[in-house]
Amino acid sequence: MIDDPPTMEAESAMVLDGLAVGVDHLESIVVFLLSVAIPYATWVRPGSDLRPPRVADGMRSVYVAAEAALRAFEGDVQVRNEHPSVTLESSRHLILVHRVRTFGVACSFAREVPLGFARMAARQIVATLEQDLPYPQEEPPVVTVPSHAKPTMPGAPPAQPQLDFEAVEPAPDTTPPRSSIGDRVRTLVSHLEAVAFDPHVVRLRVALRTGLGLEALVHPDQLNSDALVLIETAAEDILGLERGKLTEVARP
Amino acid sequence: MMNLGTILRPVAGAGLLAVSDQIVLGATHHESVLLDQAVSDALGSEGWAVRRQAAFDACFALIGAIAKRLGIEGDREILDLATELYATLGLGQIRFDITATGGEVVGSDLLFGGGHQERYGAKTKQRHQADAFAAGFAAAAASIAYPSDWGSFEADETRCVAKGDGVCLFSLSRRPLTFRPGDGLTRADAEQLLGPDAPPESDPLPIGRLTRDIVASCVASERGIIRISDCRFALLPASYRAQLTFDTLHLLEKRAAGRTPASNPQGIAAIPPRLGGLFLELAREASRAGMFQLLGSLFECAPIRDAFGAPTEDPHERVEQLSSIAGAVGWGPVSVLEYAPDERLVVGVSMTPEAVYYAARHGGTPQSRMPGLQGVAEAIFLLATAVRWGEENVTLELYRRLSLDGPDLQVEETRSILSGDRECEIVVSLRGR
Repeated sequence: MIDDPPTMEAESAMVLDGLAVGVDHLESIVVFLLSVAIPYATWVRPGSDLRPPRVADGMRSVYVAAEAALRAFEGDVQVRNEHPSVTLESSRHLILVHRVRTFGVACSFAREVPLGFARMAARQIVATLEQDLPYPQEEPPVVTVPSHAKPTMPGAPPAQPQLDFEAVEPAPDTTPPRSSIGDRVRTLVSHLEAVAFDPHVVRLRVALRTGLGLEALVHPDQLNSDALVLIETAAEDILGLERGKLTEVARP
Repeated sequence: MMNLGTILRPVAGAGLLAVSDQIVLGATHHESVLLDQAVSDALGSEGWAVRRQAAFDACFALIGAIAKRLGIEGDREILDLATELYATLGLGQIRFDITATGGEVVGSDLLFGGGHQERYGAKTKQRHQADAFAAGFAAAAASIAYPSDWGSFEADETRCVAKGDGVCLFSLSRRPLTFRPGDGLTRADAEQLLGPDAPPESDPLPIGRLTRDIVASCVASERGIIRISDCRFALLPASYRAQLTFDTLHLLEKRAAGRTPASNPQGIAAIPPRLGGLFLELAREASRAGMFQLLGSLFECAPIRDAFGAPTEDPHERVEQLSSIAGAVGWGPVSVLEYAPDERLVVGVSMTPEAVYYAARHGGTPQSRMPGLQGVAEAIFLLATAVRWGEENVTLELYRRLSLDGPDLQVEETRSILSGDRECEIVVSLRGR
């Protein structure tokens, strides 16, 4: 029996069900790394026998080869603004493979799907993933390879546990230190929630007005002074105050 | 002033409302102000242009369709028609002082600027102009009255009551025509989406029919104001709301796609924040806040009490009635598919203005694209579940209290005609269940 290679779905925690809702003839969405043939996130229509690890392996090879072949026509991929897409048609399937940064996205449809519809649906799925998939600057997700995948010799004694005295002890507390900017942001948001007309949407409004998103307000200690200015300005706009007035109002 | 029934017509088979051939939607000052505010939050000063353009497009189609149907051609006659139409729809009062080269429009009691004052109080001043809709309407009317193949009119609001001025003042000037105004959102768009094999429209509940009669009997005051209980009520072109929502959303999505961590001025987010999602939440909240007031006010209004008695104590009947009222103000034939009091509500609708617009302008999509309908479903759930009818009235204060301390709701668009389903389905449930 051949085991499927490991996947990263547990690490990615991306659920693709929402993208597949209502898309007729769609059979699977497999997001995989282009650097190594491992599925990152998958959705397979219930009842289908498609196996995402094999889809990822095959589609990665096809895509990498297609990109290499395209260089003969268009030069180095680095200088092109957009990445090619690949369409595979068989008697049973229509598969469209797109690239999103360091990921490949393979959308497979039943063969009876109109080609135009499949292209539109795949483009919309990819457009959503463009926003959801991580950027390459992020720390790469950890891949846990199961221990049974390691090659062993029949009858070989089990390996002895080894102590690594060079290993660095992990820091016991990874919580970032509170910063003065973070404290100021917390004060501002609390003040807004206390006095704004619609306190239940204040965080949403600040997150949108500043362009920083909600996550930045949850962890404000990482923000810099430029971000603080944006938040103060947004708070003044929300309360209808003149510029600079909030400094007096919201100081503890 | 004529009543709304003089100009309001149902769209046969679709359960929508139309003025002339343009689909319209019953709105209050609450969601009108809140949606504009969400667009400003999303786009900053660009929001004004997006809102004004959406208004111009929608109103150009609406005024043009009525003028054509009535055979009105003279410039003065068209401006008189626009003035009367604006007031009749409950949008306030405007007065044109323009010629073929430009001029001024004075506005008072406008739905957006006046609505801002009414919602937040005269002491709370907005930093920016509020009446992009009136600016777009005035420019559209002037462009129809004084047509030119060189350019159309554009209006800037130079004074605004929301900023503390005594009156709203617009300056109109002609600009080169860089686009061709569209047809708005027409009955034909709804009929096309409906298709020839659509099941016949089911009759609304008696309370829905009575609500339509109530809306049809509304007459604006001389100041162009219609009130239903504490709410200012108006009919807005459905394409205004939809174009505003989706143009803003698409701009945010486009910018997010082109944004990299290196270009993030704060340098703190490895993944660009999902601003489109935040905007949709605020758009949903706008609809929820407005429809909570409007549906609740209609549900407990005197004509409905006279006909059906005090609000029913049966939660299932209550939720059916509220859904029927939502359909009667233009959201489409909203039906209750499942309801577990205090837990979960599933509503379906075979046709709704947001879907008609998106299908006509952008085609199908697998993504959730009906924030307005989601807000309506949440409002129905809140009204059916969290309001103690007979003990408390539907007020702005009640809504604020429920938003802070009431049930924590989550909403999901589980089916959509935009992705090939026969109807849209919205599920509202308590978070964590």
